[in-house]
Amino acid sequence: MEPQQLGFQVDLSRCVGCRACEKACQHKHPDLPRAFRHVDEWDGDRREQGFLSMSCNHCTSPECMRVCPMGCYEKRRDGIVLHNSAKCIGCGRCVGACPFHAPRLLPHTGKAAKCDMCQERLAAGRQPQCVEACPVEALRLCNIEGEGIGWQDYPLVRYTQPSLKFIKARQPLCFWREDRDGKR
Amino acid sequence: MEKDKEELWQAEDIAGKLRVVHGYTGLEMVLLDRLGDLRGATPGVREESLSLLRRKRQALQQQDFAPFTGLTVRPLVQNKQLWGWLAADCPQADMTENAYCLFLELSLQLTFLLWHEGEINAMVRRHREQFLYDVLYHNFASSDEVIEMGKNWNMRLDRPHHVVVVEFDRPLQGDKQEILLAELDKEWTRVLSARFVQPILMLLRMQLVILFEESRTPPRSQSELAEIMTGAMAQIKQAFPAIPPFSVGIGRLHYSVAEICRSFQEARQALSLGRFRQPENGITCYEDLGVLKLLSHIRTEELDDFAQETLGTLMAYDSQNGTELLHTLEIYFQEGESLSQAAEKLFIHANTMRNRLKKVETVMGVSLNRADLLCRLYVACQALRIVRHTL
Repeated sequence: MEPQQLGFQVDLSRCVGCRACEKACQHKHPDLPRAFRHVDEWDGDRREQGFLSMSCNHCTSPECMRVCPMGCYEKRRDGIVLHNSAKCIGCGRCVGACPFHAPRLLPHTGKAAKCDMCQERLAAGRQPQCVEACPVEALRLCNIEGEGIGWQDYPLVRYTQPSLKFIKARQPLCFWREDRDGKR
Repeated sequence: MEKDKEELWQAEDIAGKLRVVHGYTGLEMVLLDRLGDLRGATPGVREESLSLLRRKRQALQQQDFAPFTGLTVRPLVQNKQLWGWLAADCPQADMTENAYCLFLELSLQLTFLLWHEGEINAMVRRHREQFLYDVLYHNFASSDEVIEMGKNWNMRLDRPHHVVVVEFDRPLQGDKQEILLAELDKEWTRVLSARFVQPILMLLRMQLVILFEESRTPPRSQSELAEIMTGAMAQIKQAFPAIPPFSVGIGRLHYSVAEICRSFQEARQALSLGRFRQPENGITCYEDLGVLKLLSHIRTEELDDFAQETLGTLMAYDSQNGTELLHTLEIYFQEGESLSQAAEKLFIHANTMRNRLKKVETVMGVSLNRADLLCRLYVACQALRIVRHTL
């Protein structure tokens, strides 16, 4: 298999913040205190509010892989970063190092865990649970070619190169019905 | 006629096929590959003909056969792709019909051989790259298995390897970047092969990844490696002056194949963060990143706030009076707080440097003798660099 880089694409115009992706992830991992995928609200420049669905971004240069002393992380040829919990000692370095806080320490095992892009579903030719659950198709799986997005927030993120694509939110078209007296 | 063709088919390699045709027709022939390199020749080819083919390589590439009047040149093309040229050391008019037919037959068979060789090479390269991808991203179950597989490509992965990543400093247009990276690959292979046993080179996501074995005991330090890389970089720039600026990142030496992935990520981080220090043509070791490693985890806005808070007075003074006190302070830290070296770097006298630092103390109302203040100023200068190059 030729190396490639799978990633998530989020269409910010379509996302209505229904949290179906989050619930789907929680449903798949019922033992987690909080799902790997989470939807955050944020204030955009032009729109009144926006929603951002995030989980592990399966970075091109995963910081978790660099800091893990036990070599628990591996990156498959399709770009998915996997965590091998059998080797994990629960040191939590990956949790602190990831700029997106994707790996989590599970309280009941004391080991780290993270999104694996529903690899068993992908192997069966299906989409990840969160992607399949999105009713407005705002979240999709795509092949990231070349540059992802130009992150400016953290200097580190420029190097890790998260495999995430955003489709910027457009200003919504609003049609107002005017009353007879001209008021909205 | 049938016998010679049958014999030609039976000859398996380039030299054998050339020999058969030479035996039947007496033609002296040369085979060049698509890069213009000599791949085979009959023993009686004149030296001046060979020299002409070498000199007029550009004419060959452009399919302009006018300069080769005394020769019969035939391009070897398969599916619109050029694989090389077959040249006979006599004009076509001097050949008998049978000889020319056999010459054409030979060109077809050599095209097939070169195409087949190209396909095999591409497949081997693809498999090798996939294997190296697995090594670099720790995509394997057992180290022993990987070490065994590495032996197929003459890689001794049971020994410690240094990982170096090379990347162009400015984004180049798609095709151009690939061509230049291939050139860079060739140049680094040439330079490093003279010094190391079988360096492993691979192009991965517009970066050149180099692995080479550490055979010395005790192993080379990162600073020694940086010196070697500086020498190699100078040689490459000398041999290929038109090459765009590129930077080098060096990871730490890890001893097992399972840890090559860490060294690779370290090299990539060194390359990326090293650009905050030297935006172009820099060589950065992971071990030398120091406080930059920590600062890279902090939001740029926070770094900006910290830099403004600490160095704001100095910046305001510089902009009001047209001085360069902040720059002086940055150079002072960059040169390891050495007055003489910083003065040399700024082309000023050491006393001027001393006066400027006193002025910094007066403007900021601090003493540069206090370790905590010095440390804070140093971190603020580093943060400022990150902010400048990020925003």
